[in-house]
Amino acid sequence: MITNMRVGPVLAIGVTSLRRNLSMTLGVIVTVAICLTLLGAGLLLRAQVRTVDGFVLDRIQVVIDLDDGVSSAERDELAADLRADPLVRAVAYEDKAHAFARFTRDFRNSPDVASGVSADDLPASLRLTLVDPRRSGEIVANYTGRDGVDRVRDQRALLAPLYRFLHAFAVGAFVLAAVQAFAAFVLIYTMIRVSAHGRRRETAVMRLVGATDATIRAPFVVESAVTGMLGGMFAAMALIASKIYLVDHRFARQTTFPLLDWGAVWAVAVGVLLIGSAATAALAAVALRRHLRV
Amino acid sequence: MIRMTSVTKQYPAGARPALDAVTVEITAGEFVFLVGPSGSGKSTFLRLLLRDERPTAGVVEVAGRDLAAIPDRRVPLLRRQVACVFQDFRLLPDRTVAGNVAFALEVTGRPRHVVRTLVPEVVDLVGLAGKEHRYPDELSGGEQQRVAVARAFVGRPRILLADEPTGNLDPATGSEILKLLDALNRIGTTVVMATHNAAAVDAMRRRVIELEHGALVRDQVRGVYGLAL
Repeated sequence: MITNMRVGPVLAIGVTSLRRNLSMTLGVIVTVAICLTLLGAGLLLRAQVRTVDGFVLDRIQVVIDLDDGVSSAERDELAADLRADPLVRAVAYEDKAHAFARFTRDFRNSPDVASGVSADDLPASLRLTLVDPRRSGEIVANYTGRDGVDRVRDQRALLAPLYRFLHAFAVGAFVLAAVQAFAAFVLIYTMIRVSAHGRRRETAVMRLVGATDATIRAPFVVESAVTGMLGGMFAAMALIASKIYLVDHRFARQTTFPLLDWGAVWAVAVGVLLIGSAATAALAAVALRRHLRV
Repeated sequence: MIRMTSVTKQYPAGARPALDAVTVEITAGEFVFLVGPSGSGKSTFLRLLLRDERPTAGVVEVAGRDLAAIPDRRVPLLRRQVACVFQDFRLLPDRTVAGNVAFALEVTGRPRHVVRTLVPEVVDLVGLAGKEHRYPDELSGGEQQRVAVARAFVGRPRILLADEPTGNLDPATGSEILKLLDALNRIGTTVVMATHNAAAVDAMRRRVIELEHGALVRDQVRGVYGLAL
């Protein structure tokens, strides 16, 4: 049985090496921090999409505007078909008077808009609550063009631009994170090469006195993992600062949508910390295969 | 303890073998000088015993084990049994005497209390008591080589290889290092020393193995550096 390595001396060697290559270490930390901040931002934007979706799905409805000339028989038949439809949980009829009341309530802050509209201008409608709001497209397809139906409106479609906006930002963040990840890889690869060169006598002595391969490699992996962890810490701090100063202070005043909560922020912060440490350690192990003879 | 049977080592770029069908046996507790001109194969001989190189043909055995049969992951265990010192000392400049010696134990996983016990003992044994906290650049060449010997010996190897350990030292200092190696041999360590130090070989009259162009040309008990008397 080969004696296990001792953690203390291995850590000390790794940290000493970090200090010796301080400028390169700082470069790696900054690159990793930017990469992980972008990755975390992308993940938080996706969390925000889920938060908005969860909030609005309970509230949005599919609205079937009825023709003004629809007969009560046609309307009843349509309502009966909808109640029998497994996609539909509830059907409510809203006549022109109620539609007008809702309209005036929704536009109470815009009297110019409300003043030019009367109850006759607004259609009566059947307002549907769906079992699964994500399947609204099927309802729109099935009921558009039926007798007595003017048009079928999916309120969720109104949110599509918001979703596209958030999605585009998330994808952009991921792409930039990937570019930064590549830069981080190149830097870490170089850092290991420089470090292996600078410590070639030390590793030669370790090999000579019978240190195991794992012990010889471990300080390099520690060195890389520590830079990754520091990068991850800065990224986590940036994300937490964004939550405090951007989300809670700035955006919270500008929107009525719920914003992502601290649970998501903590999860992502811990995630980038772990990813930072593990990925940089793994990258070091890859670089060592080329630059360290054991 | 060490047995080479028809060992040949041919480097890819070499015109002729560095070692050519060498067969030799060294028993436990021996002190052996390995002599021969530069390029005769002395360093290759030692590197094969460390499994730093593998033979092109033949069998190298250390302590009854065929080195070719040892899996790579077990090679560190071999190197804890077969230590080596070099002409250029190979000390770590940013570590003190004690730090250099302790390094060998720390990176092989020895517990701290063992390090604390063994390091002062071995530093004392090599005659450097009181200089534990000096750095290599504060020591003479002879003292640096003593540190290298202490580092090699602190793990209590069964075999100590020395590749021209006196090559960088003046004759008087070289002779002190030889006395040190002799002392380690007398407490049971097998010593194989490659050297050009004719005076030392002649003075000690130990077994001499001479290589020339990779071939073993002389194996003499109580031999001398040059031709047999």
